[in-house]
Amino acid sequence: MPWPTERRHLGQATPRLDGAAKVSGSAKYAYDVNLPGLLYAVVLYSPHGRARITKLNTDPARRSPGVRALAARRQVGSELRYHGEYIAAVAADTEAQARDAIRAIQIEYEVLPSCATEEAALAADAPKLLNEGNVSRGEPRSRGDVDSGLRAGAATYENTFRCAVMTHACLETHGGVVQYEDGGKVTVWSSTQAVAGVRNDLARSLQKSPADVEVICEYMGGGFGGKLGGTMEESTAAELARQAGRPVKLLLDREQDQTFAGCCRSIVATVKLAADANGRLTGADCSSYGTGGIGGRGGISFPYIYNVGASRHQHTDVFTNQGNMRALRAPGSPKSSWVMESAMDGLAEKLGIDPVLFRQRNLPQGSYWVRQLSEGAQRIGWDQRPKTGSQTGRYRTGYGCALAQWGGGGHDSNARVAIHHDGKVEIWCATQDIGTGSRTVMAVVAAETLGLNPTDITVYVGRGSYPPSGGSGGSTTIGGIAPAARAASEAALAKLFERIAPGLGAAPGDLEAYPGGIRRKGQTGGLSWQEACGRLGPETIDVTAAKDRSLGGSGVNGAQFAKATVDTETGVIKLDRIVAIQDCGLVVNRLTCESQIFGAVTMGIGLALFEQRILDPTSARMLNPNLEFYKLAGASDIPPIEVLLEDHPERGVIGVGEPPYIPTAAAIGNAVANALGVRVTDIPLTPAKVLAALAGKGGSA
Amino acid sequence: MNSFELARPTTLAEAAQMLAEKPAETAALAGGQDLLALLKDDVLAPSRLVNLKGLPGLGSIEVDRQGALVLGALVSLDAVASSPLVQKGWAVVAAAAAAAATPQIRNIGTVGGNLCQQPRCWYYRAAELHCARKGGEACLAVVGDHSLHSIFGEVGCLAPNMSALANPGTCLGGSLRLHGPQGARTVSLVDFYAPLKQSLATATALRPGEFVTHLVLPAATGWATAHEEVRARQSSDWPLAMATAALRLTGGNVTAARLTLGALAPLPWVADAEVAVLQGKRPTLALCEQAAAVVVGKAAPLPLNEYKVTITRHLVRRVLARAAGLGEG
Amino acid sequence: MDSPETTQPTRTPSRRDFLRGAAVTAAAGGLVGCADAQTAPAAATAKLTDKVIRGAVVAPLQVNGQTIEVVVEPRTTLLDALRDGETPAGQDVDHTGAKRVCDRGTCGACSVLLDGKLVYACSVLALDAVGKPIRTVEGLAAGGKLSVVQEEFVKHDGLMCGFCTPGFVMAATALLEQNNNPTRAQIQGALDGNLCRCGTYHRVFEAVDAAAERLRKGAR
Repeated sequence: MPWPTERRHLGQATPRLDGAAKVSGSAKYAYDVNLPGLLYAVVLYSPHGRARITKLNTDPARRSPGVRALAARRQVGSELRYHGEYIAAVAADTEAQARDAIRAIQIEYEVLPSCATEEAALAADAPKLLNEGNVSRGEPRSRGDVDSGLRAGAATYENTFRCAVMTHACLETHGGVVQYEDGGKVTVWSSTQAVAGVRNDLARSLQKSPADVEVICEYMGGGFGGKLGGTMEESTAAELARQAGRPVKLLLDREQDQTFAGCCRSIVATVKLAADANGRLTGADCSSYGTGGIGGRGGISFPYIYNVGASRHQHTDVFTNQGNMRALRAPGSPKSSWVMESAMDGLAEKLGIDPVLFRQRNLPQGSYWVRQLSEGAQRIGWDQRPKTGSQTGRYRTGYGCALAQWGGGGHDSNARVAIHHDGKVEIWCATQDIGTGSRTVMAVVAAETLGLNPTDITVYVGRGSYPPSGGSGGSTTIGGIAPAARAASEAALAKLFERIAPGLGAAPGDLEAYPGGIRRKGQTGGLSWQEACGRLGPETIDVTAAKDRSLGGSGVNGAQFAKATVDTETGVIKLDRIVAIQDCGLVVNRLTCESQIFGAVTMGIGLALFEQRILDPTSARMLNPNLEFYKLAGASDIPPIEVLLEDHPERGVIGVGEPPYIPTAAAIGNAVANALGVRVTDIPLTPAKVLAALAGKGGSA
Repeated sequence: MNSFELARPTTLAEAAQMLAEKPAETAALAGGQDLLALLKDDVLAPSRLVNLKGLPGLGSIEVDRQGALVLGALVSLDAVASSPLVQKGWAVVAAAAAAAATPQIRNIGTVGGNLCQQPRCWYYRAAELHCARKGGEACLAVVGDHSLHSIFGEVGCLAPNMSALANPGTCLGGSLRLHGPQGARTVSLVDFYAPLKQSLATATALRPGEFVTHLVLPAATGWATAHEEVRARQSSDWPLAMATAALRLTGGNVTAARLTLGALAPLPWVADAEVAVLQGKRPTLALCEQAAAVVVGKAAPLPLNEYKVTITRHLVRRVLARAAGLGEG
Repeated sequence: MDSPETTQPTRTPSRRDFLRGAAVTAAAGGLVGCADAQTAPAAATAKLTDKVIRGAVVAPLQVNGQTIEVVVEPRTTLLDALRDGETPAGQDVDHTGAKRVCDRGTCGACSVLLDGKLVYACSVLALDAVGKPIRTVEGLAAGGKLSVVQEEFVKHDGLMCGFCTPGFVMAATALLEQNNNPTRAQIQGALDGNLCRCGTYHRVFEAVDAAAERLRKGAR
């Protein structure tokens, strides 16, 4: 059955079902789990960018007070290839004892020459970090004849854009608690984005049946792509728990979380863009490289959303001594937007065409982008945008825009719904609520279907043993769980009708749910929900269903506009305003959906202005493996943000967690370029880079 | 943190004695906002912490008979920032305290702790790295990432002094009362930090067993002052540059000019001589610019912190201009 | 308003695990020379009245109006005591509202009120909290009813994953107890010691605005 055309709850603002638990501190995260006999595990990790272990004696740790288990992952002779690499882990009665034990380990290193930057790894005399070398050159991907395309342009723009390596910086670090139960079963409380996936991964690595492994994650403190599978933390905790015969809690400390537990690859992209006198793109050429750590690979999408007849992109992966990349919110796309949207703006400037018009000219006429651009321009006050480079005072204000696209089609999902004779409704799904509000989404859909309110539904998520669902990555969750909740609720409702229709002298097909009850179609009143369920007798209705595939869609757009004022005496950028326009198909919960957009924009501000992994050039140690110098946007950094959420119910549910993160940095960068008349080409846009650009030493118009 | 014993003296003499027993293994604990992090990072591993919070007479804000402001070492940064007395008579001190860190830190962090904080450098704070400040051979920031580091004051260590109170304190001619095994003594703030110029092993004038009891600031009447800090992240951040200016104006002319810079040198950077160009003249924006140019003329930046020179030049012009009543220019 | 499906791991102390642990250690020999099993918390050997506290001590902490005796070492932070501390009888203190995120006083997730002031619990020694009233997020709701601040956070969705939320709720509570008519800039300034990775700031500001208005009108 399609989504209803008249919607009571869908599209409305529904407060989170777990809001009270979160604001009262009663929500228990993996980090909060306390168990009888719990041991605390601490990891010894490499402090060096690249080193070889020359001495390792763990006996003092084993003898240390309170120590119950030790697992070594590296030995004498092992080469350690990044700051944060696991060496050994110790479990003890208290965390302090575990740390004392780690300190007692006798270890010596031979520090080896390392590569901290892409350029260092590319240098002719760079130390060879992997057997295959430090570089993996991709084949160029071409469309048409890019050289003649470029020549055909009336104007050409060329520049090199850069984005640093960043980290997820989830507030709850990576890890979990592992407890062996009777009969060889294992329970894992995990901080994860994938309860079902972790269950399978762990079962495999522990050589058990998934039926004997339960993964629990009712609340987790942020993932952003870094917690999508079975982890070193859980398998290490499992080994320690097995050794000690007691449950083990292993959560990374902040330094190791910042160095080991994932990053987002960098990009250095040299772009050549050409357009004819009418402002139609004729050619786009990009040569890029970037690093995702010691083994990470991945480039950007070029020419991103624009359909250029002649284009070419060649990307080279460079390996450096830092912890490997993991998916980070719309992997590759914020950088793709950064590179292409900055170049588009630069070319528009050269052509003397307004950047909004220039984009509209190069996008399909019927696309959402064209409309979103006009809408955003109007809302930000684009008509106030000054001529680029015309300002001379200390404070210079500029406006910029950028676009995004994403998929967001739902993963496979199932849901189970039970209707009890007292009217209680329960719904289960092996999904997780990573902060998106997925728990509440399921309640909204069930409530919509059954004629109830979301608070009438009891939702169970966060266990791998619940009806199978997918990991919360790629913005694929809502497109899985909402149609699954719909299918299961409908099936349960149909069973309810089957059971009570005869007693009402009706056929099941004569009945329908309406707000608060069940009635014959065409009538205004009927039975209350309680009365209807009361006719079920002692048997509970209990159905499990796979998602209804017709209820989801894929493909979203998005446009963001930024107004920023730059202090040319300090290089500090102050954001004045951001307008974010986002479509996501059918809006299920307007409240949490908008929160996603505010949140993504906030993360985009951090990307644009503050965040970068800083490595010591000599040793490749991370210099800012903390929240002091790895800077997230804070309260006073947030400008007024206006969110315009488009509702397209005819497109079905589509995920929206990632797309609003994509264009923010590019929009800010374009605003800064408009303000200054010179472009800062490297994110994050630090005062040093702004001042250098102004002084003409770096970046160009 | 490593295991330590917590000593709780109740008199100044007792505290001094406890600190002096095994100074290399002992640390003074006030607010703990800096110390505890250093222990957690294994940069310091004292076996004994001496808790100063039980000591009497260190927790008040008073004006003495000479009209000087006396801040007890245990007074919180928040108390300094919100004190009407300080706001009125030593506005730059209140401003600096209000801008420091975050509300949570200001509530607990103390005057003494702020003045004595350990170097804010990511090489220093990495336990595995044996940099010059820790007795090693070389300052690792020089060939490394020094983007947040000093542009003035070559002492062999680039870690900048980030103390919010040391800057306006130095500019206003402040001094510190210390207490130690030999009793009490007073040193000027300038003399308190000067030993760093002789040896990296002596960051302050504190002798074994000594601790700060009060920050004393002479009456600032007759001084026109201004203070400003530049930060990359507005919500909270270590400053990129700090400046406090103080001018005496008589009949419209500058009769005395003082400037102290923070976050730009390993100790509060006194640039009084550089701003002497204002002496005897009616201040103008052009003169302030000129003075600023002289100030940064002394800078010796490295490639990654050259931008601080630009920031400092403008910052100095602005604080001088504001102190002179010219607006910011 | 309990979250209906909150799973509390079994809280009943079980000797079974401890005995099994001993057996595994002895039989498997996987941990030769391991320290003798002593699973009860370190016995408090020092006293609160000692001039120099040299080991574990029983510290009475006044948490949300109740006194909880916690066995702590001098190095135990208030955060550790609240989250992982045990009473002399071996009961978990289990006040896990305040979160461990950075453990360095830079993110605010561990914010509590100590003697009426907002502080980072990770940066205060538990022993320094003795004798001072401690308020944590667990103590804000009265008689099962969320506070005004908590209600507005839920209503305006000033939370997503929720890990930073207790800290923000404490910071907002502290602000509004001092000033129930803050400007937007004052709200931001009061929250500058708290970080949110999910990016809930905008909605937190709205929640604080709404709570302030209700408090001005006399709501409790």
